[in-house]
Amino acid sequence: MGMGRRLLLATVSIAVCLVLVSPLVTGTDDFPVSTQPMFAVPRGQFAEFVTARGFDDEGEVVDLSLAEIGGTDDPLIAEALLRAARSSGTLDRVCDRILARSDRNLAAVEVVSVTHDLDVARDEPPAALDVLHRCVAR
Amino acid sequence: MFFTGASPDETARRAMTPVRRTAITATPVTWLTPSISERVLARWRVWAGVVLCGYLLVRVVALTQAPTRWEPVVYLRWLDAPLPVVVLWGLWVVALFGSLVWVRPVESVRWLPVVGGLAILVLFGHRSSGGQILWFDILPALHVGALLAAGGRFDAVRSGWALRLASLMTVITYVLAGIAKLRLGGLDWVSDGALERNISFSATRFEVLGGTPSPFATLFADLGFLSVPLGISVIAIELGAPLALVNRRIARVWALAAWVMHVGIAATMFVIFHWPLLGAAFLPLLLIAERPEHDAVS
Repeated sequence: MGMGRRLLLATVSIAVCLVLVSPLVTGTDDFPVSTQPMFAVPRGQFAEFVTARGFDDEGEVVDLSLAEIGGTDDPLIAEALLRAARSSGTLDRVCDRILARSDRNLAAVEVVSVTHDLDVARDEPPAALDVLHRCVAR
Repeated sequence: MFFTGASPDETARRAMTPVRRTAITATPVTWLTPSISERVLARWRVWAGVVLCGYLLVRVVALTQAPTRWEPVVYLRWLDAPLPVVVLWGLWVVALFGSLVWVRPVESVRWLPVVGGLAILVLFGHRSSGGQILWFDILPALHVGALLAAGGRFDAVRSGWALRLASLMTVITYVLAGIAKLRLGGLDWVSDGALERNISFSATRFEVLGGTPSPFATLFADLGFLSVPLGISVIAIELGAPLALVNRRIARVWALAAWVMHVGIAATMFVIFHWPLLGAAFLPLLLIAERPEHDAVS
C-alpha cells in the first residue's frame, strides 16, 4: 500500500469527520449529519402534549392506541405528526385519519392539547386540557 | 517516499513491514489507516449484518410504511414525495439479503452487500423524512456508509481505515450528543430533577399517546436522588468518548459505561438504541484497539 493511497484515505476520513462535526457551526439537524439533540432539552415542570381521544355512541371517552393516533408504534413519530398538523392548520385531516384508522366504531374523535405536571404522579388528571379539533363519524 | 524522504531501499523495506503502530501516538496518516487483517473487519461486518437483519425484520412495518408527511432528509431531497410502498418493500428485501450476505459472503453475488447497504441508507433516510429525525438510526447509517466505503474486496489498509473511520463516527456522535445537552440545557441538564423530568416526560408522552410506559420510569421517580449523579455520568460518558481512542483498556471501560447508559435509557424510557445495545456501535472501537501484532498483516 503506497503512502499516496494512505494519504488519500486519511484525507477522506478527515473530511468525513469535519462534515460530521459541522452541525456545531451550522446548527443543522439532519440525517445522518445531526446535532444529536435527543434528550438534550431540559424539561420544565409542565409539559404540553398534543394527542387524540375517541368517543363512543354514548359520548363516553375511548382511550386510543398509539397505532390509532399516529399510525405508528413510535411515540416520537406520533408526537411530531400531531405537532406539525397543529402548526400547519391540518388537524382536521389528522382527525379524520384517526377516525378512519380506528376499527372501534367511534362516534367522534377529538384532537386535544393536554398539559401535565411532570413532578406529580402520572395517574393524576392533566393540569390543563384544550380541545383543538373535533370530527364526527359520518 | 515523497512524504518521508526515505531512500528506495528503505521504502521497499517499509512496504514489507507490517504496520504495527496503530496507537494514538502514531503519525496521523498511519493512525487513520492502520493495517489490520481482513478477518478483524469481517468480525464487525458479520455482527453489523446480524444486527441489521434483526432490525430490518423487527421494524419491517415501520420501514415499509410511506410517511403521511414528507420532509426529506438531505440525501433524499431529490424525491418530491414518499416512495411507493411497493418500492419500499423492494428496498427492504434487497436490504435484508444484502445484510445476510454481509453475515455470510457469497462469491457469486459480491455486488449484493453494496446494493443492500445503499437500500438500507434509503430506507433509514426515508423513515426519518416523515417530519421527525430518528436519531437512533444515524450511527447505523453512518457505519453502513463506512462498510460500503471499505468496498467489497478488502485489503489490510482499507480494512483498518474503514474500522478507524467507523470508530471515529461512534466517538463523534457521542461527543455531539454531550455538547447538545450542554448547549441546549447548560448546567440545568444536570441540575436536581432534570433527568427525572426527562424520564417522566418520556413516560407521560407514551401514556397520553396511547402507549405503555416503562414501569422503571415510576421506580426512577422514587429514586430521584440519583438524578444529579446519573445526569453528570451521562454527560461525562458522552464527552469522554474520545478517550476510547487512546487504548484498548479505556475503550473497553468506555464502551461498557456507554452500554450501561443505553440499558438505563431503554429500561426507563423504552427508547431502544439497538446499535449500541447490541454492541455494533462499539465493536469498531474495541477491534481497532486490540493489540495490532495479533492481526497486523505483513
